[in-house]
Amino acid sequence: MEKTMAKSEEYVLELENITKIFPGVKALDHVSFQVKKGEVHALVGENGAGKSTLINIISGVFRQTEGQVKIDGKMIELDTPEKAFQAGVGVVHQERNLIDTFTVAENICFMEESGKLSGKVDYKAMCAKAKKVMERIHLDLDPDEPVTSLTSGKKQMIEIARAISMNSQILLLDEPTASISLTEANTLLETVKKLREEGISIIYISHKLEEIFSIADSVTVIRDGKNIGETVPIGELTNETLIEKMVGRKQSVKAYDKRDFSEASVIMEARNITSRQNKIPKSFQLKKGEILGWYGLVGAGRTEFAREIIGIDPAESGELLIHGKEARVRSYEEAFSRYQICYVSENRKEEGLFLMHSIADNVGIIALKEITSKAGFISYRKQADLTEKYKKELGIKCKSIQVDVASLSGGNQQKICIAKGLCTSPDIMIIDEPTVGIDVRTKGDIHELIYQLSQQGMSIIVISSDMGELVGLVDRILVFRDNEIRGELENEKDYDAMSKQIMGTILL
Amino acid sequence: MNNRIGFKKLTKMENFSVIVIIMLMILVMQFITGNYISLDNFSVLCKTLAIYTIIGVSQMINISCGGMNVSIGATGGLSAVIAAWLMYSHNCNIFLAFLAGVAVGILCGLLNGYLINRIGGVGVASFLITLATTSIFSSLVLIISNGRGIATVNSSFRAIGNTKLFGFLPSSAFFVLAVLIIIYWVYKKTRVGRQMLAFGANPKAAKLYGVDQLKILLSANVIASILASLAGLLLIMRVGSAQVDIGNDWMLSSFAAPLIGGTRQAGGKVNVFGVLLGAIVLTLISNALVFMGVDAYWQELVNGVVILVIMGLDQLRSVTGRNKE
Repeated sequence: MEKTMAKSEEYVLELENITKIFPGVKALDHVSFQVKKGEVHALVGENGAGKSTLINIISGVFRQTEGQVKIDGKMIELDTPEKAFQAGVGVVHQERNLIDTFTVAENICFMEESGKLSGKVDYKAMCAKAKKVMERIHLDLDPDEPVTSLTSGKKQMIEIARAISMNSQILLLDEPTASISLTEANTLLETVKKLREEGISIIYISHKLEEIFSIADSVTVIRDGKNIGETVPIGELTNETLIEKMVGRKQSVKAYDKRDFSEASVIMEARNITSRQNKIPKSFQLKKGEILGWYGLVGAGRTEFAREIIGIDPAESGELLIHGKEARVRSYEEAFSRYQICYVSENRKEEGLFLMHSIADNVGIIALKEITSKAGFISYRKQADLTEKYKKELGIKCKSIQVDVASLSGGNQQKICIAKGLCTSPDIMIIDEPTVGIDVRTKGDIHELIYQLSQQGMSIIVISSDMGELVGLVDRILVFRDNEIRGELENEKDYDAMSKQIMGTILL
Repeated sequence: MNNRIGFKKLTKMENFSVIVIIMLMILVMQFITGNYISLDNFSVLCKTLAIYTIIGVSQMINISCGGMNVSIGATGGLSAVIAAWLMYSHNCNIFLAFLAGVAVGILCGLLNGYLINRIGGVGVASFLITLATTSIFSSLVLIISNGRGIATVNSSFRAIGNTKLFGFLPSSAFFVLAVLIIIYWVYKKTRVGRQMLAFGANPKAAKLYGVDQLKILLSANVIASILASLAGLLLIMRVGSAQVDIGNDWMLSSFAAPLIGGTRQAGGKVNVFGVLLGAIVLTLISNALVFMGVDAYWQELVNGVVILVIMGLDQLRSVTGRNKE
């Protein structure tokens, strides 16, 4: 008797046998776990394991098909986001959800304005309240400031402020550090710790294991919509055992062999490239069959530099030599049709894919020349053949090539992006953040794919903020900081030594 | 020195360029005609201005939450014809007839809002739905009035529209002022106003944080349609008959007035008093064309060009603004 009393008091949130069925898909299958008061409870699992669906159920966006949610030991129906907020559940979803035309105060106190339609809005009171909430998380902003001009890290903090503004006891954070810089991520982690001290329970989703080990108290692993075993205190886990639980088999980040390119020919050379935005000249060489890594923090100017090379934002001065001849890339169209350079954007959903179209149409649109008949009409048979070829070569997992790209996991979407790049039969491929938001297992597949392409003679530039990925995969690393190339390192494929060298170059 | 800073502030004001354009237009007209700035002309302008402003505010509400309403004219026409018909054929009390006209607006708004929500929310959905309801409403106008309109409107009803305070300020000016103040207050101070703006700026985020799409679409469409009816009723008060073509030429102007006045085209940001300025520009253009004896057929062409120019300038401003950052 005493024991059960203690138990129900101890847990702030209890999930019992939560099942969610979407038309045709069982996203969650009898998931159960409990969250204690004042703990950081990490929820880990591969992409598509069902973590975000779970967050959406706890925050009232979706209604579970089966199962119960209990808050403070009491059963509760969370069928609208509003109800969840009133029940003390604050949420920061994976995508940014701020009202851009509103001020900081209004965004933080948005729940005071939403809900019922009648009633007045007291802006001064909202500013005062927003200030208080921001103090709690050490965020120093003018409540009257518009949110448009803030950095993504600050915006993320505003979302957290909004989530705790209703005196939330439970805070759900879905990949909060995915798109913010390292310093901002550290501030965020500090904030999470502080909120835990205040007694708030936090459910924390992240793909970054080091974050999990630095802040979580306990971990629940979700795989294929089911929870794998009971919740485990963080002390009982190591990197390897956690990854093993997530993917179901033992796997570590594979390091490929060291290769020697001293004899290889230079396929592309940039000499003192500058643009209107970036006045610091940048130079580098890329050799045939080589994988060149561009490391740097978010905002270090890597993507911008890539866009200058491929002509999206053409460079202002400097020389670009391709196969030893001077090249003038004035548009991306020229980059891939004339100079055989292709670029795979870090922004899959917006810049890489037509989400509502099928896989075949996504591939076909970039290979129009190949799939058009002599009369100038599109041959769907040719399109299907071409897509099937890539599906097989790249190991794209899907029911058929006619399904919408939107329905696929991040990893498979990334493979389609690469397939689209390959359609232009490039000599040089620039891949921007190839595995961002992609689970551990598919990450390995993508690395293997990139490596195989380089073995076939393609030269590849991999832009990545994931140091482990670069050290395992690439042959040479350029380190970027503040729009400048700070150093060039031969990759020894030894993580400990390389990471120290890279950090040394950045902090120099 | 102080003066210069004051002037700089003035030029940074959102509607500075529109105000300058208005003043220039008035000066040019005064120069050409010699008697443009007069009380008589002022009260004539006020009446046209009233209609442009109210339909502009109506459209602004739809734009503010990310949609549009091409049925404003048809709604106004239907309200006007039904009110006139009740007074003419059924000897209905003018006050009740007025309320009936407004009620028609509410019904039209509810229908639009409900259907827009059903087929997906904003943007193209609102265009398609209101395009369809336009034909329904316009056709009802023809059915009710046997295709001929209602030739005479009750004289006391007409009197409301033709009363002038202090000899030059028409009654419609007060309607307009009331509408502007109320709508300004709604957007500034009420939950429903803020929710409309939030929904217009980011529908997904708004929904995730407790804004109900159906409620917002219904509110916006009902308020907007009430204003459309009001415009229709004001028009028949003034001209004294309810023609079947009332509202046919409102659509473009209803978009032009708020856009000239600084309302964000994509939703989420409004400038209520800016609509008045936009309406003044439209009124002055139509008035100038009349003064200069230009064929009325040119009116729409000029309006179209004005909208394109305004949108072009807007684009230019946002581009140069970004470069400065």
